Amino acid sequence: MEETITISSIRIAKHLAEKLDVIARREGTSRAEIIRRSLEAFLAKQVEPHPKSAQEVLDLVYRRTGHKPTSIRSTKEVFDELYKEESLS
Amino acid sequence: MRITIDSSVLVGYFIDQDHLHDMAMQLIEKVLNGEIEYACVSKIAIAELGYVIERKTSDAAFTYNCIHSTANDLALDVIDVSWEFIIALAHLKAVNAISFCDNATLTTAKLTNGEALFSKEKEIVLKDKDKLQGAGILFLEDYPF
Repeated sequence: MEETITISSIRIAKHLAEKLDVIARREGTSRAEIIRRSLEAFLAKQVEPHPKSAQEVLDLVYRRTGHKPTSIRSTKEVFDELYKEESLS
Repeated sequence: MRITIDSSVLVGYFIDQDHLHDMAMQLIEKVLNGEIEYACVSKIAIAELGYVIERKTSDAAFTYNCIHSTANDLALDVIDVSWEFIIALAHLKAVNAISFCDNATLTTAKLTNGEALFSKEKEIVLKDKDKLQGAGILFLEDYPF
């Protein structure tokens, strides 16, 4: 679990807070999650240079995640499961 | 070459333990270098990519970042679900007995005048390509085409 901190000193305009509330309800998530996603997207453009190669993009994904993922199932297994769910096989 | 990239190809790219990883890397490299005339992905394929990666890895944060990078870092044109798209997809699903998401990839290829690129891990490989309507079909396993 990623470490989190609470920032209580942030003040934003009322109209922005209302917009945030509307968007969060529309997306079915929390206001904190919307702020997290917005910040992540903003910082990705501001701080990190745009990746130029397929490996650089992949490294960026691993860096943002904080680790390399482990594949626990084959892709074919996942697709076969989908086709069963959709009754296509 | 104008291609619509299916989720099955992108899964191979993002998961480096996948047997299609090296081929998918070469393809994405060409996209990023501008060596492919036009490459796109539909928002529906991006959603499918997300669910497959989450089931493959049980890693929601990694999944989110794959979705984010597909939309922002891979130099792919991201095709929205417009009314034109919905109407074309509805028709293709009615005539092609393949999954909704695979039909969405065919729809995207049709609307962008290109070919649809899948991996052979999808059940579409079992179908007669000539009988499927919408767009031409390529497979990553046959790369370079």
